[in-house]
Formats: sequence, structure tokens, C-alpha cells
Amino acid sequence: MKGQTAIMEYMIFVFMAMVIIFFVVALIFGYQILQGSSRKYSAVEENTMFALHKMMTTPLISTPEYQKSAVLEDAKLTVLTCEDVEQLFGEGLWVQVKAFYEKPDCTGIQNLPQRLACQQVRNDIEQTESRECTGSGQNDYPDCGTWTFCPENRKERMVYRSLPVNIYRKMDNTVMLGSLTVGVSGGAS
Amino acid sequence: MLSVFQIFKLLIGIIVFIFIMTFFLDITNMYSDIGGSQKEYAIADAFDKTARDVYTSGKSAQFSGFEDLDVLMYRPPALLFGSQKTLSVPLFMIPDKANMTLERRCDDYGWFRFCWILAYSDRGVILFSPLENTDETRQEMENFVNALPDAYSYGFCNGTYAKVSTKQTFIGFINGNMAASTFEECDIEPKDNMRIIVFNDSEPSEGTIVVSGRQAKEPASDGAKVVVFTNADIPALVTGGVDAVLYRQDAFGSELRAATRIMLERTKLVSQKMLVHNAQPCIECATPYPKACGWVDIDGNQKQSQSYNDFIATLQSLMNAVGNGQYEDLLRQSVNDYENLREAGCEI
Repeated sequence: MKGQTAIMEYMIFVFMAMVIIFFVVALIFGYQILQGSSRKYSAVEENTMFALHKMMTTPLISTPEYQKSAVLEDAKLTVLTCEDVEQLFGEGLWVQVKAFYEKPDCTGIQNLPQRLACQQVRNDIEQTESRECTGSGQNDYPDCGTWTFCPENRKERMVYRSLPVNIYRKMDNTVMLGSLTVGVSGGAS
Repeated sequence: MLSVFQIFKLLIGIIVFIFIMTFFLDITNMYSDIGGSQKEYAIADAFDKTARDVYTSGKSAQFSGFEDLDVLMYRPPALLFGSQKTLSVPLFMIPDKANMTLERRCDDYGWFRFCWILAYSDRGVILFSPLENTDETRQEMENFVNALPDAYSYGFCNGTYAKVSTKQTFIGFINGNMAASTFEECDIEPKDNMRIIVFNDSEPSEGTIVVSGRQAKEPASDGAKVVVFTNADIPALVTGGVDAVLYRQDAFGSELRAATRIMLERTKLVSQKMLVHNAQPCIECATPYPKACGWVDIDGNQKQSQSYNDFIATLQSLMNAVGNGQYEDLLRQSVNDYENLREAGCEI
């Protein structure tokens, strides 16, 4: 009886030692897995920033004269396609450029007809701002202010980064403020 | 005497010891492998990131991580270090474990620009073997030296003798005493950081690049690899040989094709919209562009700009020519057409 108890104690001791070893190993592997996913996220982040910077500096969509100051040309953006984006800036990207028009401030206007007219102007500008220039929207050029490339459904599980950019409006020969947003899918290399 | 229980404890102890030792040895081995390759990957990633930064910013940078790699080779666009990493930007280099400088270079064609990275250390040595010592050879050698970094050493290979100097001294010799010199066939075993350029029409030997006119040859298992190169290809040719030139030409052609398509569609759109833009709401309304860019006359007739028409026609021909690689003349023509549009005030 005493011998059996001793054997049982010994078996429990060995079992506990094995469990501790198993946990130590699991912790080490867990740490490695965490580090791996952190590295993957950093790579996606770097790819996003690279695509953003490349877009801002490439003469393919900017104006040669303004290459150093991140000025995208609206006419080039209008004819750009998703295939071009994938070939030139990387696969699995989703890109959107938005122009910010100057809008009248209607809040301080007391006179009702004047305020309504101002609101109407503001609404018209907002509509133009959100009007798509790419694809079938080419016909609306230059009265449009949004350029979107590659299908919307790619937006799932993507890392997005935005930067302010200047947009050269070719037809008016002016430069306006805008934003460039790039999404890179988590699996993109 | 040992009891049965003590023998049992001893056996269990030995079995558990063997099991634990095997387990830990396996893990240690695995970790040393993973750790080593992770370090190599990290170095390759850091180099790629540096190249990307230089490519987008245009500012030169230094890189000094290669000294920790056991193996280092570069076959554009793949960096080989036991494993391999495809670089994100066009880059040419003689790989070296010493401190490397990365600088961006761009071939500018006005409306189109192709940029790439030249990475170099100060240990690069370029030896020339001008077996045909003619005016053309000397001019070509000067083209080669001018296209390459100042940090390299340049010299002649004359039989088993080679003497190197700085870029400026070497150019001085090309334009000075070289005409009166004679050179024997180069008989030097090239080192990793050395490139030997032979100027004549002979068959290439191992470790040399033979240049004859605008043609370069390199030894290959099935004879010789041959490529026709331009001045813009010289850094790629010297650093990476025929394969690097083919890679560069492919990357250039691919980007040019995309740029031509975008510029063609964009110019068609702009020239069309400019007519409408100038016509409405009045014939002589205020427009930022002169009439030479296109307008609608008093009778409603559209007057398309000749400059825009010329540029569009050239771009259309260029589109077709890029596919077969014969685009040099049309590219030059497109540069002139674009310059005409700028002079007319239609493009900034």
C-alpha cells in the first residue's frame, strides 16, 4: 500500500513537471506567433505608406511641373483605371481621391432668400464634390470631385491611410486641396 | 540492494530525462534556424525599405546591414541571401558587405519619367580592357565612366596587370595618353566587387562583359547572352550584366506602356473638354488657356489645337511601338510635341 502511494506521488510529480514544461513551450510559441502577426501588420502598414508616397510623387498621375509637391492632376486621375493602379502601385489596393471645394458659409446670413440661395449654391458644390469622375463619370469631368479605383468590396479587412494632397484642376489651371486614401488588404505582400 | 520502486524511479527518470533533452534540443535547433533566417529576412526587408524611401523621396541614404549576411548576391529584382527577397523598386548594384550608398536616378522625358535606384559602395572596381583602342572606344568608355558612381575605382586591365584610379584621373587618362597606349587581353580573375568590360568583338570569357558598338555579350551555358543597350542601360549593364539590362528594359517598357496609355487618354479628354470649356457660356469667355489650345469659333465650328493633335498622334504610335520595343524615335518625338504644347501655353 505504501509502495503504491509512493508510485502515485511520483507519477503526479512527473505529470506536473511535464505540464510546466508544456506551458513554457506554449508561451514561447505564443510569443513567436504574436511577433509574427505584428511583423505582418508592420509590413502591411509599410506597403500602404509606400503606395501613398509613390502615388504622390509619380508623374504618371501628377503634373510634371509639380512633381515635388504632391500635386495630383485631375485629368490623369479621371482616365486612370483599377488595372493601372494594380500594375503601377501594387495589387490588392483600394484608392480614393477626394477634392475639397471651397463652399460659402451660409450660417450668418439673416435674409431668407439670400440664405436659401446660399444653401442652394452650397448643395450644388457638395453634389459636385461627391460626383464620381472615373468610369462612366468621365462625361461629368471637370464638374466632379471624387475618384475611386478598384471595387468597393475590397474594403473589407484592409488597412487604410490618408494624406492631404493638392489636386491640379487642369481645366481651370488652379490647385485645390484634397485627400488621398489608400487601402491595402491584410494579405497583400 | 535496490528496491523495485527505486529501479522503477530510476527508469522513469531516465525516460523523462531523454524525452526532455530531445525536446529541448529540437527547440534549440529550430530557434537557431528561425532566429538566423529571421535576421536575414529583417536585413533584406530593411534594405528594401531604404530603397523605397530613396525612391519616393529622392534623397540618398546609407545602408550597412549586409555585413551580417553569409551569402549575398543580386539578380534583379531578387536579393539572394540563402533565401531571396524581390525588391519593390528597380535597383541596380554590385552587392557588397561594406557600407552602401543608395541614390535615385531618373530618366526624364518631360511628360514621362522612369526612376530607379543605384546602390554602390566605395569598394567597387571597374576595369576596362580596350582591345580596340579607337576614338569610338574611348568615347564609349567615357560614357560608361560618366554613368557610374564617383565612389568606384576605375582602371585598365592589361594582361595580368591592372592599375586603378579615381574617376576624374581616369577620365583624364582616357582623354590624354590612352590614344598612344596598347592593351593586351585581360587575364585577371575578377573578384566579387570587380567588373571587367572588354571593348572588341571577341567571344566573352567568364567574368567579363564584351561590348561592341551598342551590343553587349556575356558568357552563358548555351553560348553567349546578347543585348542591345542605350546609355541609360549602362549602370545596369556594368553592375548586373545582360540580365540586369533586360530587367531594366522590361521595367522601363512596362511603365512607359502604362504612362503612354494614361497620357493618351488624358490628352484626348483634355483637348475635347477644352473646346467645350472655351465655348461656354460665351465664345470669347475668360479661360486660362490661349486659343492655340483649341476653341469653338463664332459659327460653332470646333477648332482643335494642332499641337494637341500632333501629341495625340505620336502617343498613339508610341503605344503600338512600345509593344515591339522599337520606341526610341517616337519617345523623342513625344518629348518634342509635349514641349510644343508647353510653349503654346496649353500645358504647364
